[in-house]
Amino acid sequence: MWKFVHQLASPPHFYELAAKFIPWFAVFALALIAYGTVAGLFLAPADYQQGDAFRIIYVHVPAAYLSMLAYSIMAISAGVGLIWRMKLAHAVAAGAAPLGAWFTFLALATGSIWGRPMWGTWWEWGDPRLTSELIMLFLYFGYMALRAAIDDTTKADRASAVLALVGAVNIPIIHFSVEWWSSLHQGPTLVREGGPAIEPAMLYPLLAMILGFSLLFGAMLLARVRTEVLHRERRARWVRNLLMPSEGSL
Amino acid sequence: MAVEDSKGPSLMQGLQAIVRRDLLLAWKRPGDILNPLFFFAMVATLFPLAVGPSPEQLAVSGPGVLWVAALLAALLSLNSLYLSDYDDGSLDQIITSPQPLPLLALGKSISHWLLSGLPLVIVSPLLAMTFRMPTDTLGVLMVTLMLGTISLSLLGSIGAALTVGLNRGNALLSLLILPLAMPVLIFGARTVSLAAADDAVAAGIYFLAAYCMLALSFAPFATAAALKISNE
Amino acid sequence: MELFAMGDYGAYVWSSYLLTIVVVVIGTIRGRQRHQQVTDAIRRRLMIKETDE
Repeated sequence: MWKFVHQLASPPHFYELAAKFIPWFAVFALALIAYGTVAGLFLAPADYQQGDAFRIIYVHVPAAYLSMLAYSIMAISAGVGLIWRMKLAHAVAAGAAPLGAWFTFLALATGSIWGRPMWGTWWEWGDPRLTSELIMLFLYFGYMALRAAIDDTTKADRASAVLALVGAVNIPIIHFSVEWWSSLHQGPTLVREGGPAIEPAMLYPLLAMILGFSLLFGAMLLARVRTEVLHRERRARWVRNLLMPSEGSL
Repeated sequence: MAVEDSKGPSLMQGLQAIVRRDLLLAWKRPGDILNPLFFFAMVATLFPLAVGPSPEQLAVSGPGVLWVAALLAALLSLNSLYLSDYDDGSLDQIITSPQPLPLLALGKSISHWLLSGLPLVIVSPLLAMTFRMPTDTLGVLMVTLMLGTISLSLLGSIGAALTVGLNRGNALLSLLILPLAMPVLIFGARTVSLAAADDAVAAGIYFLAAYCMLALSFAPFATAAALKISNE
Repeated sequence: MELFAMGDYGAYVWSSYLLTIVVVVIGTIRGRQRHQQVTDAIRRRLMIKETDE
């Protein structure tokens, strides 16, 4: 078992292994998402309070969940890379960041679209989740901007790792602050996802979407990390053998 | 409590040394103190001019404006926190010093606060009065600004350490610190607003104090790590 | 067709789902593009090295 983990950390092994996992992740992801979409859009009953608008939940919640999952993965792998000096871990962090930013944007956009019919406005400062999510988008941008600003890969890895960890500590604090702040705000009733009590017909599609999108995220992440690894190892022999198998002949 | 080591200076002496050094340098460059202060005063005076002199409006927006101005002023001064050390080579000396780097980082943050945060706190009541803020909120304003600016000096030094020596590090620094500064801004400004409305302020002040303690415990270590990485 | 109207909220619901598809597709395409760029760059460099040898 230990050997497996040890091997996994080796770039060529990871490169190969990831390629095998990606199609499986993708297939299961699409199946779950297909079920979730159809069931969520057409089979689940309309919500008591929100009517059919609540169906946005089936894309909004997975996006929000992924935005946070991506950050956790980014912070944990950055930490592992920083402490144990594992290059692959840094590659994972680098790959997770843009994906996380995309899903954060999606969460904000779908949240905003959902808010328009519910609150009558495209943006509601009184909703703690939207505001916290916006701040998290800034965290992602800061991370990616810092990486881009530093030329040396190792230095960029380690500096951005420090930033990711500091940000990770701050996320619960930010969320708490914003919740407290918006509770002071005498605003409209916050949207309760799914209505008073979420019934199974509504819940199962949601779970399927969350799981499906997680697998999709996994597939996308593995693909990006593969690219990242290839780029970082571009001068290595295994890469040469991989891309130009017939040495000496063109 | 300082361990008197026959081999070298104690921790407390090391801390005092770096704070004293920065203060002396700033004495020779008064701009270090004056610039953030001017900026703070400028923002705080431009606002009423732009928004209009209605006293109720001013009083309501006062806490928010003052707090945003303080935050921006802090950001402005953070950029040069390690810049001059980097330029003249003393950063290398600081990093390789036998004194623990987190301690020295803490010292830099302390001197930064003394030079930019503390003046803001002292000047704030004057500006608050131009905003027609009720006099019984001034105490809360000063306490929240004090705790907030200390947190900003500590957390900001992490960003300053990560971006030292980078091109256009200025804008990047602001982007990095923004999320960290949000809880401080939120609790600071809103607590003062609560004071103006005669509501309970204890919760806000406790939060700011707790956040300050948290920053105090881990920011010096994060800054030290960042300095070592940036200076490789 | 009434199914697609989503009780007057159709525009909101469908635009959310469409946006989701767009984001996922763009994310996937960008990933592939980058992979292609990286492999191309490596191949180019290797070919130059070979012709040098």
